[in-house]
Amino acid sequence: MSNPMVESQEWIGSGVSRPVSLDRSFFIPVIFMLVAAFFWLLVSMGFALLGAGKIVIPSLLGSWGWLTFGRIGLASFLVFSYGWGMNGGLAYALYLIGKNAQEPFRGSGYFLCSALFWNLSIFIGMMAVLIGEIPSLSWAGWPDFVLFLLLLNYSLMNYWIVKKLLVSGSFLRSLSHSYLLIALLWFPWAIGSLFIFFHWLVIRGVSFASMEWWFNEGFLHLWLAPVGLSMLYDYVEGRNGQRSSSFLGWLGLILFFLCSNFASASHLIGAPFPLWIVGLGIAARILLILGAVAIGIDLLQRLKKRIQANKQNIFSRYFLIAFYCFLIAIVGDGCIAMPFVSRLVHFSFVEIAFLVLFIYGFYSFVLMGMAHYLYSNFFRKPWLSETFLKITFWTNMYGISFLFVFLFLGGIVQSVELENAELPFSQVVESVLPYLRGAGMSATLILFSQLTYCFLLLLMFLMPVEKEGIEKNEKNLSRSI
Amino acid sequence: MIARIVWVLGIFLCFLFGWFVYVIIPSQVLDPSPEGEETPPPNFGLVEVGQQVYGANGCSGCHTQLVRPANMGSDIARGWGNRRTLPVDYYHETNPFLGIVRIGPDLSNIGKRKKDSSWFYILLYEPNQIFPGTIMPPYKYLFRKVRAEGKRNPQALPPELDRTLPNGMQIMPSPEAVALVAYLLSLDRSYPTQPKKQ
Repeated sequence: MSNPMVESQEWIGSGVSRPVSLDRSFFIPVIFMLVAAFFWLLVSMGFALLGAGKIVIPSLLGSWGWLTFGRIGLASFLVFSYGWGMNGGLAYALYLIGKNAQEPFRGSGYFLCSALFWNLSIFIGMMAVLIGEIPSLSWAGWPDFVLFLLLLNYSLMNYWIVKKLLVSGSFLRSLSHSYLLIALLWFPWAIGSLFIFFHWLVIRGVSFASMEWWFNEGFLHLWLAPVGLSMLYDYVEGRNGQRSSSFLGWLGLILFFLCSNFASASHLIGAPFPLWIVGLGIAARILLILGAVAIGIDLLQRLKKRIQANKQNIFSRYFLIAFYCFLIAIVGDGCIAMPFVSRLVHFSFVEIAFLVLFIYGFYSFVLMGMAHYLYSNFFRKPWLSETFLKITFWTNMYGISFLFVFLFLGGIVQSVELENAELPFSQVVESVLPYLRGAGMSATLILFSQLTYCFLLLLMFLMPVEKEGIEKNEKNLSRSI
Repeated sequence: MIARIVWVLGIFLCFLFGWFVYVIIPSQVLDPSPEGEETPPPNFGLVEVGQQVYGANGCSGCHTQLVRPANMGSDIARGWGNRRTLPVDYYHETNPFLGIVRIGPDLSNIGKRKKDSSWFYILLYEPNQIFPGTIMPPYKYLFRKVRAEGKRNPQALPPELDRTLPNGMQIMPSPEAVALVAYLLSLDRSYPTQPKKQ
């Protein structure tokens, strides 16, 4: 087995983050997916920034239909979820399998090919959304043929990873593998179901909305959340053979998984659905808090230990922030699902604030931490500037914090003012506007952070290989954060 | 081996149960026909095209089409509807636009509140004319500047809306804008619901 990333003895004894031993057949697809993920992240943030600009100046680029607010908003969301989120998630999945593999990845070629077509499908889908081919589903807002292409390419990429997981049986011992398996199995099931219902079975009226929310919530809690949690668990589980099976961790997994399947209807409060469906959704959403708390208690102890061992590397910080965002988002989402709160905040920016915290704060941060860890280890070159790395981390963190705070406060103002039926709607929007502008500024900060990171990454990629690069890199990082 | 199978089966059973509750059951119990309430007439022609234009421009990203019951919010007090919306209101819609956030007002009954098509055209072309300071983007790309052949077309927008409009030209709604306005005018879910006549 050829190994381009040979572990040095110094590393093994150093106690800091372990360099990854990964065969080239895994390494190339992983890096391809990660690079594509960062590309889509930038595209998505570009659209988000344009959307924020349109809130300040509504007529900005208004003469071009393909850049209208409704289309770029959806394009940004989809590109973020499928381009950044799923590319990154699949790269991680392959890395997780590859680092324990005893043989090279024989399907490397077809995986790469599917990955290429997967990204091409996202591009085609994005263009279709921009020209107005929107079925108006939020999280599955692709045209039908793009849904099919995504399903096909995902299944091709997924096949080998799932097969490896099932054969090894590692998901019975390791929480990271178990979470990953749930996520990998959910997506083809859900998207296949959507596809069948769109084409062969007649579903209409509010049943369609129920299916839409079933998919939306599933994507959040049965794809993004398990992949993110898998990354956190992989980080705390550490080296091979140190897999632990804490009771609390498994309890958290089971509770989280069971409740996630039923939490979607909490968004349908006030909608024309039978009370039992909405009630089941609310109950599951509140119970989800218990799962998150169990996971939180289990993870926090182990994260602290791991961070101390890693001398507070930058990726440790990413993981820690992601962990807190996860807890706040799940607990917050559970609280606002309670009927007496929900009647106030439903359809307001409070719901959007928690969604943003979940996808940008939790998932994006954990993925950035993982990507940073992989890049640092794979390239074995120093980052050009540790100061800039610090800047990217802090601007990202402050950007997401401000974004959440502005949306949350704006949502509270919106909810309170909407309750007063005497107040004209235009006045409600006027009151919320400063908060939306603040949120737009925060999005700019995040985009700046991501652009800086990508620039540093590009420079690192172009620089010549240094033998001791990574050691120097990590020592610097340990000091700097 | 058995443990693996049980674990994977458990995962699929959970998926299946969630899917059954939120996809299969609603498609059965929320269908008001044939013994249930009388359904509103389906959208045809221009209105149907307008519904597609509504979706294609992402209008549901800012507007909801859902009136909540009086004890669940101020929707009815605001005049967005005279009753909560019911499954029957969406019966013919293959993709109902319930919406996710209210950056703009609810449109469930906008066709009842506003009956003047020129009001909608002006709103789409220059929202600031109707609501000064609004954050609704203009949809100028849904309109065309065409040469006025003799008499001014009754559908043409007031020329004051565009100061750069050359003499002899007029602003006309495109077929998409006409369809969209037809759809918006059709949005009236205030009819009383009643059992189907046998």
